[in-house]
Amino acid sequence: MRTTRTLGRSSAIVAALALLAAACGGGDDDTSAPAGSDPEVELPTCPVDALDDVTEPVEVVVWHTQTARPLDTLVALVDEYNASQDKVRVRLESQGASYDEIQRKFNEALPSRQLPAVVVVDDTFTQSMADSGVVLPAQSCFEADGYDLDQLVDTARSYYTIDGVLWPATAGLGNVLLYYNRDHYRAAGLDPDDPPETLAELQEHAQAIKDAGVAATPFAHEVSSWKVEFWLTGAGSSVVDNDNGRGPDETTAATLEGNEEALELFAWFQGMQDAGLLNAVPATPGQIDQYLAIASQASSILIDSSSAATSIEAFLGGQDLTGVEGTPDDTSGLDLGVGTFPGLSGPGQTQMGGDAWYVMSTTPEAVQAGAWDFMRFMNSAEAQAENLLGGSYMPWLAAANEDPEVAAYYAGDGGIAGAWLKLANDLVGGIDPDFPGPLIGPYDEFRDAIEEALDRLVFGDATPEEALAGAQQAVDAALERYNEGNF
Amino acid sequence: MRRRTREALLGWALLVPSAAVFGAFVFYPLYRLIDLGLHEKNRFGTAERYVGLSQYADVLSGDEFRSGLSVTIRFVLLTVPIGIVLGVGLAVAANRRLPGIKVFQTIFSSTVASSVAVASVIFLVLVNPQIGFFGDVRYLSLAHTDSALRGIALSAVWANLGLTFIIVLAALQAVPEEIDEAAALDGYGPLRKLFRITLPLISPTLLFLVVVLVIFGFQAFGQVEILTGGGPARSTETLVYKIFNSQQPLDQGEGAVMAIGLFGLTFVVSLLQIGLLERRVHYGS
Amino acid sequence: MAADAPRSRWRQAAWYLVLTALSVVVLFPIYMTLVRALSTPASYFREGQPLLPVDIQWDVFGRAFSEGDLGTKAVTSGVVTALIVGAQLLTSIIAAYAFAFLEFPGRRVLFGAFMATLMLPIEVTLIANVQTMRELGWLNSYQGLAGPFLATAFGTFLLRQGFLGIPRDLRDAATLDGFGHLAFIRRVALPVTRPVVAAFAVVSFLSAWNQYTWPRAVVSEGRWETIQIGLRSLSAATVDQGNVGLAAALLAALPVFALLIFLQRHLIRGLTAGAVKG
Repeated sequence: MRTTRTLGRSSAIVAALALLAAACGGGDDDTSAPAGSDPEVELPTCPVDALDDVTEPVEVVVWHTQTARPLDTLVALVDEYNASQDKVRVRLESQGASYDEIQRKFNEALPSRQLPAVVVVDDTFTQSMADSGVVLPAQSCFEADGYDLDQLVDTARSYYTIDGVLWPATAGLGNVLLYYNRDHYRAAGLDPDDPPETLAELQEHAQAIKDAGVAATPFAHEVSSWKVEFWLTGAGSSVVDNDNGRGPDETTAATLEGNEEALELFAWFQGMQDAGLLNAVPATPGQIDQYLAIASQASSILIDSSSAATSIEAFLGGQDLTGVEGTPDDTSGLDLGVGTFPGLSGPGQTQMGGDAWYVMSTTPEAVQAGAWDFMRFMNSAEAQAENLLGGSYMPWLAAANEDPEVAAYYAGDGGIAGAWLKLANDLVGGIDPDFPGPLIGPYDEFRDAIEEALDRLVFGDATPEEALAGAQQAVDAALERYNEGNF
Repeated sequence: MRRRTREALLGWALLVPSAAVFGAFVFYPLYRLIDLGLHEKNRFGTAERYVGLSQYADVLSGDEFRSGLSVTIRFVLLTVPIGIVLGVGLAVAANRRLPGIKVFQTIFSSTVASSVAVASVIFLVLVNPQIGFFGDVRYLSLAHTDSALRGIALSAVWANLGLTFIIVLAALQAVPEEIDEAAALDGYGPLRKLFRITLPLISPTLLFLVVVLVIFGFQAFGQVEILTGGGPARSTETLVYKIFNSQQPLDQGEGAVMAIGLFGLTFVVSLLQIGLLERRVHYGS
Repeated sequence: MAADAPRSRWRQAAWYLVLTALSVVVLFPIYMTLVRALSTPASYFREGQPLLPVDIQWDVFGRAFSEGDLGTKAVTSGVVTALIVGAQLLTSIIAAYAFAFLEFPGRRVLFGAFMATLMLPIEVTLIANVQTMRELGWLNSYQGLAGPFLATAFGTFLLRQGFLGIPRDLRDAATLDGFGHLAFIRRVALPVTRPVVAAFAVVSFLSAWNQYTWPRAVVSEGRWETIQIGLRSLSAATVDQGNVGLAAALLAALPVFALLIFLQRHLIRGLTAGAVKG
């Protein structure tokens, strides 16, 4: 038919154009190998020496979506770096409040190569960054510096490595925590030092709190995809085929429909909703309603990101919540406890999370060199420690955890958030390096699909089977489009 | 040069600035949109292939466009009728000679000062399910798929109040006093006068208002982005919201077709408006 | 008459009551925003969200201004608005003059084409226009923000109506006096249609200042955000200090509110143009 004939003829033209584009597009380092291809392909060289001859300071623009306390910490780190040398000027540019937005901006800027020096995105971008053709894989820069990659936390390293190539230049590790109101626990007759360790226990505790009339909807939860992923990965369940995306073949389909763990999880949410225990919050970008639910004591239990720790601390009283023993000094009157992540079948079953920094290969070499120099700074033990203390991101440089200031922080000196993050760090350490999390090209669409499925379950009237079937369809279509879009 | 030619040249010359702007930012984009709709781009935006009208057929009959259209139309239905009723109500109440009436008139028109962003930020807090003053009102809840659009509509209705009030008030004030007096003499009570005489007299204005508010409704984007981000479960994604989020290379073909679809919608409404205006001209004579 | 006086006083009082109640309803959102903007968020929740501010932070407006860089954003908005209003006035006046007073081939077709642009608002042509801006390198720039709005058929239409309404005798007198086109515009047409022109300017200002969708599409750098876009990003960035975003919203609405009070007459005229007969 006309379409196929036209396609056939235009494929030839398109192939030629693609070759042309690859040859002419952007900087010299555009030849990064897409994932799944021959691992023997040479890595592009990292222009580490390009800074030596600069006469004027090089501007390194960093796209990010940080807000609140992590943003303040980032600004402080950038100022510190800028003041410490005069060859590189780092400039931060906020791209909005959600990773969705920065992904969109990134994709929109891709064709014209109008990209900054560094892009900070969340941990799900690995595959698409690798496939984009505009990223300088950090592996080559680390190798150029003679850096021993064993210094990195091994789960983080395996999570961010595709076929032996490590892509992000630095990463702030995040994980998940259970926050709970200990006063509510006491009022409901529950042991305030014994938070739930499984979802079943969570439901029991929530029911007790509700029955005691302490809170009407005790479990606050932002309905977003990443926690679902944590539960599933933690339970050893793959969400896509091809070995959760890390296998040698092409990833072509989701493994959601009929996924036992997924069905169990969705049924659990359904149960919580039906029992009136769930205070579900839609994941509108830039909102923090789930924290507000805890702050206003409308709810008692929250499972959320560990990187919220310092923000929650700041938000709740503007003062440090001191008193590890349990009588805090804050103005909000909240006695907040923290527990490990209650998995589907046991405690502490999580996957990798956080943010990742990618250096673009489309800027002039001097800029790339400048960006890498800034990354060296961010990978220093001091910067990694500071990022933890102020921004709640756990270091991927394992040695940073031994820093005395960090050790003290973990012990709870200078704020209860430290003890909380110790827990999160333990969780990171407990992840199986061989099953660190999925690797998906169209990860944003995958997340949209999961979020929509859970939305339909919780805010609409879909059953777990229906919701997951919808997600399966959407993810399959997204994967097909992603793979097909490589023409 | 002959005077006629000079005048013609001058005429065209005076149109050039506007025409240049329209050419560059209205007609040329329209052409590009149509072209975009006929093609599919690769993921990086570096190549495209021709797919023809099949994309138009697929997208216009597909779920995305249909749901966007339905959400947009629902939004219009939620904001326009009640907006007009409230505007008329406020205008009728404030259209009387009382000392200090100007103060009330200024208050009623004050929402004209709030932009989409301001109104949305204000209502985000008001209707927030956790901490909003009206957070418990299930009917308007932004956290449920059946009610989220109503919450958004509320902020739009409030924001449009000022404009609606100003326009209806002006129309009411243009009604000659003799008619009021005649109605009173004929024994018309205030309600009967309102419905039987006043409203019919200002009906051209009301029609105009309907068209303006409908067009505002079609353009709904900022409110959706700030209040719900299109959720929950994408139940509040208007057409413009979907179009705005189709700027990545892989989505552009689809987005362009949806934009053409939206154009079709505004075309129909504009035709209606022209038709109604024509009628009004005859009305006047 | 004396017998009517008490009854009409009751009716007056009743109307004042009704009007006050309605005013409360209309102003309620702004009032609650003010209350929340001034209160310290944590304390506000603790008190169960009362109707009066709690633990007032008088500096919240200052903080909103500096954290949100509202000064720069107001300037950006101001420059863009000035560009748009100025350009729209210029292009509309001369186009309206041509359509109203000059004879040239294709006048009707061209007028139709102008009016047709009203059916293609920026929301429809968004994707293509953003692409154009990207190609021209006009993202994050004044020209990118103002470009598509430098001319408007609405203005042409409105001013043409106004010009057509100029009495025949005035035009004839001007011709007799030997007025050229420019002189006619400056000395006759504009002064006579001043109310309409002023009204258009005010409406044009309002719509340019309040724009959201186009700036949102074209700006990705903080420095280029207009005040409306800045509201959104500030709210997100200070989401843990909920009152700052609200304070910023109030500050953003302030200039327009001031405009409303001082230019009410023109505003009303502009908004009702085309709506009310006569």
